[in-house]
Amino acid sequence: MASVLPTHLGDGPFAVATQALNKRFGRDTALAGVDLQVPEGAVYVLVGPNGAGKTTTLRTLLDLVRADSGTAEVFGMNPRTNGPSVRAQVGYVPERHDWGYGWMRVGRLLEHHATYFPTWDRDYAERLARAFDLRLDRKFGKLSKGQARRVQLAMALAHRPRLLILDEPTDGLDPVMRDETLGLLVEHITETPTTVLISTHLVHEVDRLADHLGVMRDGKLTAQLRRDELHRMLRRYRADVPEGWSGVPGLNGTVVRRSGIGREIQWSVWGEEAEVTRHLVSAGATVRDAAPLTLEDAAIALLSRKD
Amino acid sequence: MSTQALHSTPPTPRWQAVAREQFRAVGVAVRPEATLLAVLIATLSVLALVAIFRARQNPAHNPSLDLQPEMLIPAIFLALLVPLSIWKSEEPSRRSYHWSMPVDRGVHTLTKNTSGWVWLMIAMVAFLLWGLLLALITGGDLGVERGQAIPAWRWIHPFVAATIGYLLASAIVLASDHPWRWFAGIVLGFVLLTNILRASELNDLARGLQSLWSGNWGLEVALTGSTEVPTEVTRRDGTTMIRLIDRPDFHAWIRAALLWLGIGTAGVVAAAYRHQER
Repeated sequence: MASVLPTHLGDGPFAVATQALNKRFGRDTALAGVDLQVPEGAVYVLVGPNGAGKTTTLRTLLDLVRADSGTAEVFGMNPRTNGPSVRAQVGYVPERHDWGYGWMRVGRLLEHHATYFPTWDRDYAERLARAFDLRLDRKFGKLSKGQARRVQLAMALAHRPRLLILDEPTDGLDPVMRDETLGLLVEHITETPTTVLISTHLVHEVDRLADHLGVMRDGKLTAQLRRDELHRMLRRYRADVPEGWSGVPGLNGTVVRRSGIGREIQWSVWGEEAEVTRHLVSAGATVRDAAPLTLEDAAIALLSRKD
Repeated sequence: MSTQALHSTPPTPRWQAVAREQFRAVGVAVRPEATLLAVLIATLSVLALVAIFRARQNPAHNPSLDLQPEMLIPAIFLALLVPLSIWKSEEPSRRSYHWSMPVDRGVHTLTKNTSGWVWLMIAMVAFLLWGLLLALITGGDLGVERGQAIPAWRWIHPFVAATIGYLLASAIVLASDHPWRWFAGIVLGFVLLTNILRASELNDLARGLQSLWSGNWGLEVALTGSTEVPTEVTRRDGTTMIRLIDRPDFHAWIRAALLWLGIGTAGVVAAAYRHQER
């Protein structure tokens, strides 16, 4: 039985591919050998606790941060040597809400942004402005976090980029606007062939979008896999165990999470269902069910996994 | 969108379009400060005109406003502040929006900074024309000093001096999150170090440092267009003495100006191409 979670997606083509990215800020290690692989056309969700290295990874793709070692490629181009060409293909929503000119009115800021992107779709920009209820006459710096985020989303989407890099895109939005924003994102992906790389804490929000998941912890990409593989291979097993039960030696290294009350134990285990069930049964457990995890539960299970 | 479109590389913007947009954007950025300044100048002008026309009620007086290049000297000090206005809210640690645009970052930064310089020059020309208008209204002299036409280079000098100030300030603003600390630190450091060297009787070193400001190639010459010339002056009691008096000096000025233009440009280019992570 495999004892490690997958960290590579096999052969491309990849919209984003990094190899052994390392980055330190002083004494702190931000990235430790990150091999991110985002297939073209995928919606890839990158999860991890604060300080895991998600934002640093995303910034490396725009050459806003330079790795100490390792390489990064966006559509086969190095962001460091082909910066303008890479950035022309990326719609970026950063973590920060002050990304944009605070002294500009929103309408003027959109106009300014449009100048830099010859593929800017004016009709679509107007549609987004209406959908996001943007107040074009307000100064960008005077907007609330949620309003500023909506402007940034419009800026990222309106030129229909090949790659969307969204760092906590719904941060600051109220629940209704979150729902509408995700609806717009679904619509955008349907209308425009796009690769999406989203970093978020709110995994349940992107459940309906995601087809790939990456898990970062302490600067490392500890898991990277397709959604269908996750669905098939990571399951929660509920089983009754006899008194004085000593565990399942065959599952060593594949148990992602374990909890239990009394003699009912739940395991989140990585592996083929038949094989895991066989191990449990042979150890004396009575398996009651084996269910796939939601994306959020899977993310929590993978993040809380003890090495 | 077709599959072909998905795989094709989108174009980057034309440089002319970016330059035009930067020029317009910088215009928007400096508009509040420029408006304030224009209101201040207009108010002072009205007050001056009222004072002049009141003074003329006395036939013994005929005051006027003359058109002189020196009227542009305040612009040299203003030039030190303009980069702060252009790059407001865009300290290096907050410049990621500027750096996320699909253009060469160094060229982009230089384009924006150059736009600021163009606006500064436009403002100076406008101020000069305003001075011309006031001189015409009050019947003042137009570019005449001691009965002679002021040489052309002295009209160019304030523009060059403002450019030097603008470049030096830009280099600091582009490179630092705390430009005010650098401005103050440079001035204080210069004064302190010169005095410490003098107190330590390291006079050669003190003179060397001092010459950065007031030497033949010093910044003072580049900014003022004058050098100190030993001149014989007569005292009230009829005796004479030699005093150092500032006199316009084209050759000294052009030498120093070219040097400091070079230093300022090098500083701006180095700051523009420096990669800063945020």
